[in-house]
Amino acid sequence: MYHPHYVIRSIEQNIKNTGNPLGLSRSQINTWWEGWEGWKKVGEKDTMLFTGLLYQLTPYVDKLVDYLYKFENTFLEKVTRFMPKSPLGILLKPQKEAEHFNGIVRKIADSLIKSGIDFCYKPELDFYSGVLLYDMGDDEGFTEHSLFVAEKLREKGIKKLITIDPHTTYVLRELYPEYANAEFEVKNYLEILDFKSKKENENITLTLHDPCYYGRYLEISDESRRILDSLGIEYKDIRNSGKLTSCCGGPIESISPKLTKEVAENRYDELSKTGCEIATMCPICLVNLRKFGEIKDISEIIWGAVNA
Amino acid sequence: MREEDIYKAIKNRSIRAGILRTWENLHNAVEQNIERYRFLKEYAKDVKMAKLEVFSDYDRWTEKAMKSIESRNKCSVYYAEDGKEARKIVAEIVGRDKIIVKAKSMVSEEIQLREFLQEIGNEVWETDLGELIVQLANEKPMHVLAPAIHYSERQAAELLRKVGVKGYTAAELAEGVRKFMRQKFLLADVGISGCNAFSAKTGRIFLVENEGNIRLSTTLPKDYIAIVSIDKILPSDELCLKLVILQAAFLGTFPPAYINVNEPVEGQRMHVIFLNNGRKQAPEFLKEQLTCIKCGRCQIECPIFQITGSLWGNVYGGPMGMGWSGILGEIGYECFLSSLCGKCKEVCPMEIDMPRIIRELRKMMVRGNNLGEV
Ligand code: SF4
Repeated sequence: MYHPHYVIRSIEQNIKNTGNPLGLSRSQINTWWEGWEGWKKVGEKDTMLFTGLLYQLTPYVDKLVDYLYKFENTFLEKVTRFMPKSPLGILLKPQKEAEHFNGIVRKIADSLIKSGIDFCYKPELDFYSGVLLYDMGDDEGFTEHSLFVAEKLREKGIKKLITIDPHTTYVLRELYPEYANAEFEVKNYLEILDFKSKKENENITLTLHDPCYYGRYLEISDESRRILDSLGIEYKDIRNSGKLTSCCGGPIESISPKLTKEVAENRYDELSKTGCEIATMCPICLVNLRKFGEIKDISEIIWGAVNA
Repeated sequence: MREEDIYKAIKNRSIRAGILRTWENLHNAVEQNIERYRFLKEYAKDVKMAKLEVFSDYDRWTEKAMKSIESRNKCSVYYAEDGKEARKIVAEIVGRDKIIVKAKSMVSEEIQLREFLQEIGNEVWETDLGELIVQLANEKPMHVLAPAIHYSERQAAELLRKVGVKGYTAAELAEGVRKFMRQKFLLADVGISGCNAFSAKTGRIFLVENEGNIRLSTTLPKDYIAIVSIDKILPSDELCLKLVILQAAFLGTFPPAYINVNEPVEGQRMHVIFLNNGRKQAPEFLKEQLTCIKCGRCQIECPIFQITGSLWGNVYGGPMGMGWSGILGEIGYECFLSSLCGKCKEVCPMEIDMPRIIRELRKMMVRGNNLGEV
């Protein structure tokens, strides 16, 4: 178990220095839009695609957690406490994975365009939401960060946000009004994608792993199914889905990556019993579950069906 | 919680096997109960409201509860502020060199009563089959209602051989234990139980079970001690009955085989000890946890608990255990092992917002810089 004190302090420090919990520079993480074709199609709007950087950060987090996993419960666990603040830039270069996750963000943005949704993207206004600080019970750190983010967005006249992962959606929609006094209209991309088509059967059957925040906190599990229905993609739900979905173990990976791995394995076993292709809709679930077999992000499947 | 327990749990795969097996056996039954007996939801609301009302004025209700039974013949009533005081009272009643039969009771785990009574020179037997297995293994219960959930039949058989019970199948073992226990019941000087619900109106103690051993432990011995933690006090018999029905329905065993309603009877001395142990002093955010009826559903459905069992936690493990540890003043940084996924809240009959409680505990630790050395 990594000591929560150490974990919280380093997340707090990193967020203060760089705006994200890993302490990486923004130019290193947020690159998905470089060379993006859709760039021409988005303009000056008050609706902004707000990725919250979670997809982009996840490959780095995953690399780091790999190290933490190896060191957990060994003498090296304590050594990690004295590591320089941000050795990650040098240590972790998950090039291929970063490209994969950037690709997911690009596919989501492309699908939004395809669906006829008007929005803008401003990399300099796309910030990490601060969710980890909130989860860890560091309300002070979270409040400070959320005030900073909200102010930046307000300054530039942003009123509506399109989010792409469950954690950022929850934090911006449910917590920012309370902690940052910021009432943005927050829509998750799965709530607004609408291809207005009734497609023929795509010949895939999925089993969906609903993120806990879509299933319970936000209660929007039906949205992904609505989109799949319109694309003619079938799915076979298991008991532990929707409101009863089970966690992938991700949220405790900074405290006990070993326990996270066991939880994820259990969940993967359960999902794979249907024999169908498994799809997730959260970057954290994706990296945790794919350690045991093939998993796709639902946005990749949607994109594939729309562009087929 | 000791940190190494988590790694012990990860290695011990029979914990997850047992919990998942129980989950698979019971979750359909629970869902059917909820579907079929629509009144359960209403019962839960009534009980929760009544409990919150009792907590809003613990002193008055405890006094009322104590009075309701004090006036009875053959009954002594005590009040214990904490575990230490409760143990002292029990020691004075019991003395030493006695045979004691115990009904399964989490509150007695909370104050480590069995170990204490053994230390002062008594022979103590857990009469619930699962609890007896845990006693023989010298472990703590792995789940509030299914203490030996992590033992296979073969492992259970091995442990039971320590007390001369023979056999291999569940039926053979149950029969063997029944014979063994019958003799203890007949010889026992003292019976001890906890309490699922206490009626402040009539002074009756409600206990629900499936094996029948609670009935025997509490009726056969000459002295009967009931430990009633004050969160068990409810205003009426009706509410107590609602609570025991809920507890059974939400574990999946409904209708329960036995509902015991205990009160002082001729030929037996009854001793009722009301126990506070942190409940009155619980901060506002923990009040909701006190409405818990300890059905253990949040444990079985929790993805972390499914790996660790109650090794994650102190007396009570899992999501509800975090809140209870807060009440008992023994929360440590195990509360950072919850993923806050919210499944516990979703399945809890009392709709207790455990993720909120766990985050509040974290906040308390972060704020108070109460995270220990770095
Ligand atoms: S917290 Fe709820 S689900 Fe868990 S044991 Fe208590 S009543 Fe049952």
